[in-house]
Amino acid sequence: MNISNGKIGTRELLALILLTVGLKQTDVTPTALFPYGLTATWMFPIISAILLIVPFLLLLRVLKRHENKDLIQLTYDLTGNYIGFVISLLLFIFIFSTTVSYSRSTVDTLNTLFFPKTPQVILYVSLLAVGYFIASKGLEVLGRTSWLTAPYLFIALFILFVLLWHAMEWHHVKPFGGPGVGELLYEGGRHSYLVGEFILFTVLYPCLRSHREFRIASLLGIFIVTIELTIFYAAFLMVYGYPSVENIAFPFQQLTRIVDLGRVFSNAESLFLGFWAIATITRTAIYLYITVTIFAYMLKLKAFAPLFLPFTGVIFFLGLVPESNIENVLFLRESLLLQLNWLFILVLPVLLWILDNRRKRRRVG
Amino acid sequence: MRRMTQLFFVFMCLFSIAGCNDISQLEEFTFPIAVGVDLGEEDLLEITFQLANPSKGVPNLGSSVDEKPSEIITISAPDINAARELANISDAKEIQFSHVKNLILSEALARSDKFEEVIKSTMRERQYRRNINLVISKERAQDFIRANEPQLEQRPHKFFELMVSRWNQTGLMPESTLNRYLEKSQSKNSTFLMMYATATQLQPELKTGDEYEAGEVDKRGGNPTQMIGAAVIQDGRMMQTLNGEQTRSALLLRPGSRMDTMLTTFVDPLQTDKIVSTRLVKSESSKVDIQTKEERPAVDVTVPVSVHILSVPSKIDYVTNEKNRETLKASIEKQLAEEAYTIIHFSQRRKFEPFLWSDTVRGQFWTWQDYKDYRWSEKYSKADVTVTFHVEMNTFGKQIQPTM
Repeated sequence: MNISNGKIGTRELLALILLTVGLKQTDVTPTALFPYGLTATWMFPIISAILLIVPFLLLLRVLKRHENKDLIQLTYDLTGNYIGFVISLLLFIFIFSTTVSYSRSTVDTLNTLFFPKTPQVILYVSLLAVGYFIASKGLEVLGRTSWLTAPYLFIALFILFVLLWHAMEWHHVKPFGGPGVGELLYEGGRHSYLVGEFILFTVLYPCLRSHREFRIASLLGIFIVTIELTIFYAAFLMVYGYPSVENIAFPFQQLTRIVDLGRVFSNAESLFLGFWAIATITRTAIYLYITVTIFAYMLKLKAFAPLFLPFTGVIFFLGLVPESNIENVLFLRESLLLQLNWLFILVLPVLLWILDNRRKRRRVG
Repeated sequence: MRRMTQLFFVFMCLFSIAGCNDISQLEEFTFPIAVGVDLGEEDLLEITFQLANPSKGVPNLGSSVDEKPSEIITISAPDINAARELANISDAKEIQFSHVKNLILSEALARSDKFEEVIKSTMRERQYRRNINLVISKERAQDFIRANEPQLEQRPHKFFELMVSRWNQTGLMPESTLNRYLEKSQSKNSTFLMMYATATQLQPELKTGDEYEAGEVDKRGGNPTQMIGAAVIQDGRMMQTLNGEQTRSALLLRPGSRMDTMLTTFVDPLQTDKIVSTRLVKSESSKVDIQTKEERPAVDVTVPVSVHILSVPSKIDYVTNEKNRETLKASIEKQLAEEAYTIIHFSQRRKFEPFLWSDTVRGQFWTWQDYKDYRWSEKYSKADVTVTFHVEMNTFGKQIQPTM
């Protein structure tokens, strides 16, 4: 049984990308990145995207050759059962911890800035319950929900950017080199989890209507997301200035508080809160769905609808483990897993491509 | 299955109840417009809240005439957030900081080492917005807030809003929001100019133009508040003040800032005992060029301004006579440059740099480390600064010559 009844198309996948990678300026990611990128942090999305593009295109070629296979099956096919399992397991741990960390950081943001009296548990339950509801309905519903949400989010982001124009100081992105070119490239590569979802989304490959649609959605997604993240990371720098941006826990949400819609509407952050909250709930659903999918493929399970509820529960309890958001940030910054995940994002596709080529050559020879 | 779905929807409805945790009604809150901080006794601070009365000044609501526009309370507490809790001993409403427009700090506090601590404590509280204005008052902040009684605008929040937007136009006060302060105080390379204000009238001295500091302007009647000039914040405390003219010169020399109207007077070049009063408009940003290669940095600033002649008491024809016009232009350029050099030399002697030139210096370096190692704040006092003003005279008012 396929996990969804039907298949999704270009715009649904594009919406999924925009709501996952495209929301990485609103969570703890920038706070984790600024100490490494200094005044050049805005280049990280560009560097990561450039580093990603070649491995990703190679992976697409391999996928095209094996129609109807996803990333995990491909890994099993090409590397054998044991290594395949280890690689899938690591991919699963990566996406699973990302899901836990991001959902927790969403709850923390809501709790600290907007609902200080509500217990975190209640916020967390509400977030995950809605996420579970969307994810358990299957990929089609998920894709359509994202497609409904994403345009409004991007309109809101655009309005925010325009309204911030007066608060930005262009000089703050200087010195352009930040920590220096070598350091910048190294850190940019190491932090390519910024765009890691593109590799993970290839588990959805068989669910796309055609190879062409997958390709268009991904490449368009990389393009839009890179521009968007670059603009917002630069905006953070230009509004807060370099050394002080490091100490801001929720840069995006504070940005919405600087915006003034003239003298009459002076506190406009609730407008942006609405769009952000809807988008971030959909995002939780997407991460939940991808986590369960990878888990099911890893164990070669046929039906995985029953897995959603237990996973939601596990994410809930693990998400409550860190005492505060800052532990979450430090986790993103320092955990071994996320230190090494660039290997998967940049090396795994190349590895698969080489193995696939060798096998083909052997067959021909 | 159908039953399950129905149950699920009922269950989902319960989630909206979760919102009741943070339920709050507008009438349960009170919003301070200005918060004042003074040094108190025994290491405490004296915190003053000016709480707005929302029903005052609303037309068609039939508010009684003798209703006060705001309530002002002062509390001794270790910090602002503690004072908020304490304020509830007399006020039934919950104090919300989300509409605070001004944070007023007394000069005594600003010159003490507690200053930075007070400002930093505001950062953690979620309700403070980063665009609140920081004002330093010459007297105690509570006296300033109590004395401030705008006659034409009874609602205090509107008074502050209008005042800030006027300052940005006239250039007599620097822009000093919390966000800008935090940004500058952490980069360590630049001094910060903060608004300087008073509500006590000093012995008035008559000066031409804007050489006044706050309190010195001879003004009769109206609101006793005078906000003019700037306080210089260096290394986390206030070091000196700048008068209105110095502030304006400093702002003119900043790379980005633009001002709409500044009324200024210049000495009449052909009859030196008379003045020419003008309106100065800076619509383009100044060009700042800094050479950092040499041991002594060379700074070259070009400031484009346009000057509108308002009145010429000496009755010399500066409008139709081209030669006179050129003389006046050259003289204004020279006078502006002299003012600029005065503030530059003053600041070099006192080792502070209020012109935000560090922003330009940043662009000269490739990495952050290089920029930090350069130590601009130390290099500045030895810098060779050249200032050029480009004056454009494009209007002379609506009359070519006043009728004699």
